[in-house]
Amino acid sequence: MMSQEFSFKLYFENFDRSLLADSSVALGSFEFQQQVTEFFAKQFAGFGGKARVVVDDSNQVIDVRWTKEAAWKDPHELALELVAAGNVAEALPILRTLYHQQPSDPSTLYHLGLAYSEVGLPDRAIPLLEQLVEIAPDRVLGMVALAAAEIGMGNLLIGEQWLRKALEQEPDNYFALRNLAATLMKQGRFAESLEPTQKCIDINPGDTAMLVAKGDALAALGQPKEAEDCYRAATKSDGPESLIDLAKERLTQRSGEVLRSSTPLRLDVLTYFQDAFERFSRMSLPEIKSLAMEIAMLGNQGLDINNPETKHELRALPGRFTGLHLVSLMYAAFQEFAPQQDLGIDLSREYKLAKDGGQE
Amino acid sequence: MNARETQANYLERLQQATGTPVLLQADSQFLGHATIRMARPNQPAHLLLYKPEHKAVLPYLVAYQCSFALRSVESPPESRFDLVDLPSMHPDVLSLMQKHHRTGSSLPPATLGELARRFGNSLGLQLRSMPIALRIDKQIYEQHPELRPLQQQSLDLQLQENMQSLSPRATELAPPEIIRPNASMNAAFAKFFAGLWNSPIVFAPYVAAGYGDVADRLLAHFDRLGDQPQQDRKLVLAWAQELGLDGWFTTRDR
Repeated sequence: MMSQEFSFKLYFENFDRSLLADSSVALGSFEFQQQVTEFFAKQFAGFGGKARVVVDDSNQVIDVRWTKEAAWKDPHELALELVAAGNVAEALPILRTLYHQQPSDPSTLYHLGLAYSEVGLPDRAIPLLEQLVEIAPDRVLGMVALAAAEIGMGNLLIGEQWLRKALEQEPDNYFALRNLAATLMKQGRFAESLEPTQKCIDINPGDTAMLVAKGDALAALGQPKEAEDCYRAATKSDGPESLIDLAKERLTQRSGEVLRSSTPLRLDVLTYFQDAFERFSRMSLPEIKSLAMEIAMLGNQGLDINNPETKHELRALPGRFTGLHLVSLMYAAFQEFAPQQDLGIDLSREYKLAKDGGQE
Repeated sequence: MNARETQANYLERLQQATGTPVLLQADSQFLGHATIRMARPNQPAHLLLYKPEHKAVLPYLVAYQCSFALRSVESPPESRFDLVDLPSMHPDVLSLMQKHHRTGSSLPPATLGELARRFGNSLGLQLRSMPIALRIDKQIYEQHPELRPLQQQSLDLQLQENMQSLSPRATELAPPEIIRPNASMNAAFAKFFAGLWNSPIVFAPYVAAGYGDVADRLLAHFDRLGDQPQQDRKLVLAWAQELGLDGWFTTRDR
């Protein structure tokens, strides 16, 4: 609806620095100018206009001009789109201005609070979300967001209370359950965390994070077999990839622990190392590296070192190998070119013994 | 009804309410967009002056000026009021101006008195008219869709002019005690239209300059008090108090 060009000028000192991501930034500094420019550019672009911002250092003046673009988008809608796309920093100045427009609008309070939490400013999120909970007490996600902000500030117990309030209203609220599980885990209350974790898995059986969390809780509670089942289920879930890798890491770690705890010294591993040394003596270093990488890749699928029945084949070597044999080959190979690499399994004693020719 | 018919209708309404016709007159020397000079008892007509540059939006300007006049004429006599300066206003403003320009000023000292007088009067005029202007513009917006494009065209200009209150030049010319209430009212004005048009961008400069909260408070008074003319005096006084201008201005029965 705008029909003309608008412009205004502000002295640096008249700019409200609390609007900037870092309100402590020194007036007139490079960071100040950069943040001010970004603030205006994003804000005006966000409202469907074209803005030109000139930060005049010599006169300490910010000069802003803007005109309306043909394709106009509702700012609230745009802010939500940006948040949904993960562009929270871009959405922030728009939400901030919307907040000044409608300080009691529940949607604005919620999204601005959420955005502040996302950019690591939970202290700014909390008063907004408290206001939201006050004016819209039936908005369960508001309570969950407030809880997350409190947890972000390290106030785990306050966060937990908000989550429990949210769950009183909606016992199966997925986000409340997920956050509750996380905060209980953070507090080391593993047994209590099992209930919300399991509920999340019941609602969404492919929730990788909750499968890993349940595995961690069970492991902490001394139930390694059940923990392994959870990690295994996580490796077959939809992701994200980083969590699937974490689950695999846990499985490897767990296998290592089992290996270490099952016997003080594994003679089969000693034999595998001797086999490895014999093979490596006929191989070049690049070939050894290549072998190590091939086994590592295979390990990403999960190698079971406790099952001698399952055998694997390699491109680099003829024959069929058990999981433990492969892990031993890989361990020995890495000692040749990257001994500092943490492979998640400790076979150092067996390796040293094999290297020393059986003299411990 | 088209815009021209609406314009004629407003002129007719004011004539009927007062028994005096309204003359339209372009005046290139006039400083504002338009104003109405109500006829004194011995004068044959009210005079609505407008600047020729704004002729394109004349139907809106007529509707606005006539509405302002009608609001006063049609309200019960006991609720009619004027805004008056308190004795301390001009000396205070002059003293603040002298202090502000004590060092490094580009203004000749002789002009300070005149400038202080103008700033003081402008603040009073703005306080008396701006909160009521919002009532009238809202009414025009709601009752006359045919005037909306002209209304926005005219107000866009006014909004742009108002933004000067944030400018470095304004900060140089006047002390914060003058700038703040002026810019605060402008912020409320901008916020009001930002909401009415769903165009938050016109309010953005005031947010950047830290006037977001005071605009909220001023508009809270606007929302709290009803839009009947009988509430206008309370509204003006509430704004005066919110802006710290109640030591310089008050109201009196007309």
